Amino acid sequence: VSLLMNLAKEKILIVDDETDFLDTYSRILSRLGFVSLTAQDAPSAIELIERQRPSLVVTDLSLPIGDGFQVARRARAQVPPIPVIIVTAYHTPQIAKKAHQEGATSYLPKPFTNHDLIEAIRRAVSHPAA
Amino acid sequence: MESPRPDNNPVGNLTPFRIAVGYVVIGGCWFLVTDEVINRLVSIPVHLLFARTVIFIVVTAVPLYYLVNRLATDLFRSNGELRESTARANIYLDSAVEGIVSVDDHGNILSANPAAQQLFGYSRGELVGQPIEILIPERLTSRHRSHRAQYFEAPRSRRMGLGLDLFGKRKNGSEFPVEVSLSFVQTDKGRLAVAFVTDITERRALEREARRGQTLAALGLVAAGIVHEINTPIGIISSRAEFLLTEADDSGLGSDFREGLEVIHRNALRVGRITQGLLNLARQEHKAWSSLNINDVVENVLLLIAKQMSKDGIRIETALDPAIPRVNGDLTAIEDVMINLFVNARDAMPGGGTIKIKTEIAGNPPGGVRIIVADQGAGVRSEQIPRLFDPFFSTKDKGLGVGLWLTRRIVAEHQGTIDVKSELGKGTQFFVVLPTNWDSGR
Repeated sequence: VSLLMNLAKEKILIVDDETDFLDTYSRILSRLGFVSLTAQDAPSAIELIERQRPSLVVTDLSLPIGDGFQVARRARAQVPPIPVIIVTAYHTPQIAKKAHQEGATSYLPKPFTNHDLIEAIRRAVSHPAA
Repeated sequence: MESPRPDNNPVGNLTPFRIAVGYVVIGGCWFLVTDEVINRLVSIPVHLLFARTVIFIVVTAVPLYYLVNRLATDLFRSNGELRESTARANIYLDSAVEGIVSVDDHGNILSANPAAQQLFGYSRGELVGQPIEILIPERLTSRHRSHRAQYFEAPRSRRMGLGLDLFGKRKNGSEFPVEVSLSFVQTDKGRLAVAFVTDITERRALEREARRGQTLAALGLVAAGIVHEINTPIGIISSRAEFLLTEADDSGLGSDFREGLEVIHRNALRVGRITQGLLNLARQEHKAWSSLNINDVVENVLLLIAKQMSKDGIRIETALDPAIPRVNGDLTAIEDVMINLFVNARDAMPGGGTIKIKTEIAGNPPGGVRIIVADQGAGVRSEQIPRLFDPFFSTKDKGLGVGLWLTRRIVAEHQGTIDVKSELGKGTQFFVVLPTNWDSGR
């Protein structure tokens, strides 16, 4: 957590179609000192990535327009690449593998604990190029 | 097939020879007598007559020998072939796996091969002469009689009772499912129907098992769909509760609120575990195997649910044998088994009561751990017991009917067994045996 405090005011983009999900994790991340950006589909997420240049993207896979892999690819294509955490309710080993291939830094099947998420964020921001 | 040769054919060698010798003797006598008569009437030198007789008889005896020999050989050969083909037919009949029964047009059994005798539980020869209907359950005999009459009017080779479930009846009265194909033979004594009977008990069982597998697979898909839908909201609930718990310290919320949040959080996590367990069952995911002390598992689960139990008027008595061996298992899965059994026991006693939980060493020699969970509820009717572990079967008003199904799947994955004993008005006991010393292979 102390490392996270050092990253204060870093921007994190959260992408999910559920407003309750966005609201909950925005609050949790704000509490940890991040500025959270939210998007509910792939095009608006991509626009935010390019305009706001967040330090980290947390995206769900199933989105009403586009999908989380598109968001992840665009984030990884930035210079320098933005670390991505993929979350999904439809966890299968195949999806986990694809998430890894798409350059996701971490992969979290839902439901996950706040501790899981914080761990994943810590890993992502400490090895952003990974 | 080997054809019999004349030179080692007793009929071919001896009988024609005897016939020829007999011919020589009888013919000789006849000629000698007639020559004597002729000589009395016309005077011819005796030695000329004698020589003529001898030459005639010897010359005709030789072709006679060969002619008879040839006829005898043919007769012997066709006899042999007949014997051989009968023997071969008997080999087919005797070694056939199918029961083969032939019946005349009055419905009387003419023959039954050993497989048929064995299939229907009769001993050799008992079936011949009996009406075919003794092999058919009484409730079906009148139908069979009319079908049989129709068959003899227009016989042809076909499967019997297409689309119908056919049953055979053993000598002891028990029934078994059969498949029958019919054929017929025209003989000089009339028409015979031949029935080829196969016992399909095993096939039926396999079909049932396959259907069950398909049902479970479909159920797995449904479960997976539900679980995926639940994963997001339950994640939000647990994360939000966890977040509020961290906030609670700062905002000076009362301990009641804090406790409430803890309960929400704990149970949200449990739902997550259960849904994950459902998913695991649907797709047989790898489990986290470790060495478990079942007493610890029981005590931890009881800690989790004790408060609620006592609110529901449930007293819990434990008798945990400290000497039980450790078992290899997946902690979450075994916890789910315990929770399911304890919650079931509680639900069986809506007015409260005592749940007795016992662990002991199972088997002789010791090979595992037996866990007994007994309630004092209304009990389960005996006809419902075999269905208790079926998916979506529940004796509770609001039960979903997956708890015990899930429980049995988990126990089976641990190479264990689960049994149930129930007495109406006295209660139900579940016995779970988890073996030690098995390799989960992961």
